[in-house]
Amino acid sequence: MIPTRTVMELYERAVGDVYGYLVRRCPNAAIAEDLTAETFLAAARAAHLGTELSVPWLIGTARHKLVDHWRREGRQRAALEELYESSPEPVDPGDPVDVLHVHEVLARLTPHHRAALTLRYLDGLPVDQVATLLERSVHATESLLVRAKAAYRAVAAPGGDDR
Amino acid sequence: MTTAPDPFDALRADDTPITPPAPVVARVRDLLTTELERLMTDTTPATTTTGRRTVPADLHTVGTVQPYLCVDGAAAAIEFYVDAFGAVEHHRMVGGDGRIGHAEIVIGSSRLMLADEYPEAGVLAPTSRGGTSTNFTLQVTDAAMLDDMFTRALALGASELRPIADQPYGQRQGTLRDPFGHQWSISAPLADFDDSRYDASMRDAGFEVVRPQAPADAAGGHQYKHYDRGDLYYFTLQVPDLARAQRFYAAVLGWEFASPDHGHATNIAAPPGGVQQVDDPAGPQLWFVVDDIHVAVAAVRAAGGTADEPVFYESGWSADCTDDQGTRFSLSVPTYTR
Repeated sequence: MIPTRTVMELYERAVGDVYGYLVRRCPNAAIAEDLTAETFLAAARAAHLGTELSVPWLIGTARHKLVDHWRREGRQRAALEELYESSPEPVDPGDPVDVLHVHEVLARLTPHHRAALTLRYLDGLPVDQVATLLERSVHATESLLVRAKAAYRAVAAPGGDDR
Repeated sequence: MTTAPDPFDALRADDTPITPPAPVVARVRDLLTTELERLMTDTTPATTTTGRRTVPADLHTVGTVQPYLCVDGAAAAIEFYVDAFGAVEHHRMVGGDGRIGHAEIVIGSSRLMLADEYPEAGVLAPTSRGGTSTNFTLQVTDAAMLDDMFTRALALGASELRPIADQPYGQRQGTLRDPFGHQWSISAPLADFDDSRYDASMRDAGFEVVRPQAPADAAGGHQYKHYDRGDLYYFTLQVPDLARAQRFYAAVLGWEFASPDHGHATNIAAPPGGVQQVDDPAGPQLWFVVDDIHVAVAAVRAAGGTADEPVFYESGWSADCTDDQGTRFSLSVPTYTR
């Protein structure tokens, strides 16, 4: 028995939550739209298997879809990324960061840096959960975050670039 | 140790909903409707259990048997089942007149449904019918737990029908009637009670134990396999192309496959396993049997691993985990074990 009505009602009620979550974390709206569709299709299949759906379930699933997306993108850019992961310029970690251009800055970072910063700071997840989502150890995630923050500051600086 | 405030915390996103443009809402709605229709007409089972090969093809959709209890006083009954048997309330539907039209609770790995009396629809509790003809056996793992649970149920208003005693069929058991008229046997297995002892004991009691002949293709196998903690329950090999993997493993290992479902094809020649199509293969996925999913998940975390919250499927409880070195594995409490 598939609760078709339950799924469709949840869709009408929660499509804004899912899309809102994704569009703030995707470089463009087209990707957010695709991932929104993927999230709800997964919800239909999960409901078919007896999972009780909720908005937190949808956001958790959207987050996984986003991580999968970054991972696909990351594989394509893996070779390039090796170059960026060299030691960054030292910055005073207490300096304020540019929050005004957060999406432009994130869009110019490598997928791994973007993934780490999005999950840790935009989503506010603790480091161990970020590590689980990115399938890295906590230690590796902590050092990834250090590099990602340095890359963010470098790009956000006037005339800055991550290359 | 105090940590300096992290300036990057200022990036925390505002997550108020944003409705996508109307054409996008409509496009995803269409996709979703199509998918739901496909799932609705899809009669192949969504989950797989070991030993499926002996189930007649036209009964492939049979999953679990879920009792539906009618009780006079459903809210109080839920409270009783939670307090006495450790039930977990899943949800309840409360009608305008205050009656519970439907509720679901989970005891162990079993889901039970219950409702208040609706005499206008012929839905009557045992107390209105003058008794019940059904007995629920609540299987527990050890005798101490059986004693505790039985004593607690009596203290909460159940009445004893048969005191706890060792039974000739290899169970230590006590039977009670709950305050709502339903009858329960709480039962724990006696040690070292194998099939031959079971048969001999029942012969002494005046019964001949007769077992259906196992189907020829199930030589040595059991349709309802017995699992012990730590057994491999099921595995999938993750592959990007399902049909190609089916050809490969048929040629190399002689595997035969049931009709694929949700990108998953079960090997029916030599259970328990199959191939699963995923975009991003990450090696095999292995499910191991545990007695209690919540206890096992806590154990994984205590030992330094990570575990997702357990999910209940038709095939039983499942939880995806990683060990303390990051290797992925999954836990399962198969529905059909006991």
